[in-house]
Amino acid sequence: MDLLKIGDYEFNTRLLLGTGKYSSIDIMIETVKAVKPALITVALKRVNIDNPDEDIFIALQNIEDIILMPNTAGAKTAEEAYKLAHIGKELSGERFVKIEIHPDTEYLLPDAIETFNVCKKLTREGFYVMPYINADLVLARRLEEIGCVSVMPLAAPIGSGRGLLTYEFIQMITDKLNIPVIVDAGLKSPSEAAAAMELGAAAILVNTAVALSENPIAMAKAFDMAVTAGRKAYKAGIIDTVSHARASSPNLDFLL
Amino acid sequence: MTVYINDKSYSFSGKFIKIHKIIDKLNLKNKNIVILKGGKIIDDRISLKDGDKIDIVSFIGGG
Repeated sequence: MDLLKIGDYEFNTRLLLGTGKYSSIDIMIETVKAVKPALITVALKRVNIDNPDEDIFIALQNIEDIILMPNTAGAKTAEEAYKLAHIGKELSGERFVKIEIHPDTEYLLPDAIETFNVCKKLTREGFYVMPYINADLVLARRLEEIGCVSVMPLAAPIGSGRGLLTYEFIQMITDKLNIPVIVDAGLKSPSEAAAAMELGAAAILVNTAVALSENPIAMAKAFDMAVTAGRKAYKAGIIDTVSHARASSPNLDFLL
Repeated sequence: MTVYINDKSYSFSGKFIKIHKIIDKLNLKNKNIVILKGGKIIDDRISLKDGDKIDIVSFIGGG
């Protein structure tokens, strides 16, 4: 079986799902149930004392076999991300953490230096660190060297729906790294997820493209199928591109 | 006494109050929460005094 291996864990799906931006907690829960993602990302927030039922953990904990991966969204420095990672671990009881540090509020691009620094610290403490990064091979290699269990290069700015803008750079990373490369952020449609998987990505994390679609459950299923299709194509060995034609039918000159 | 929770003020009787009692009063007993004081995770058996500030944090949807 073609399992996704992250740290000591094995998953029989290659789709990871974010839980933000859904029109209701109920729809988010039904979407999660529909595709049973490998990991589910969650963020941290102060509890709304006046409406504590906004806590999504209560709803998620009733779904069997899901693993929560807290993110550090909102952190602008390594120090802030470090604190959030520990709070997330306290809440989730899991070792997984998605490191997100984006001081730039317009494009939400990840800060490579702060990300590297906090990853180094957290991997030493036994976290399963999965950093959200730009599609930068040099950084990805350095993160692999210090013990990150995965890297999560962006396809395009978070939530932008601009698709696989980093196509060539994702290819470089998937070619050279031994840890799972999980393409994260900016995807708009399932075909882009399939394209990323065909490049050798180990998995896809999607949120906005599902949550803001007209039918999140159906869209999540479509992404799941695309991820599977892309993976199967990658494993089957995709042909090289050539500049000239390659005839698919035999030459019948002798008959003419 | 007044305790500030997530930047809102709450009044309680007495000079000190243990955090777990505040949690009970705010109906957060069975919620998956972490309590922070000065940005650090603290035990809910710790007592608070007038003017103390805490944050109560949990999960929300995120990508």
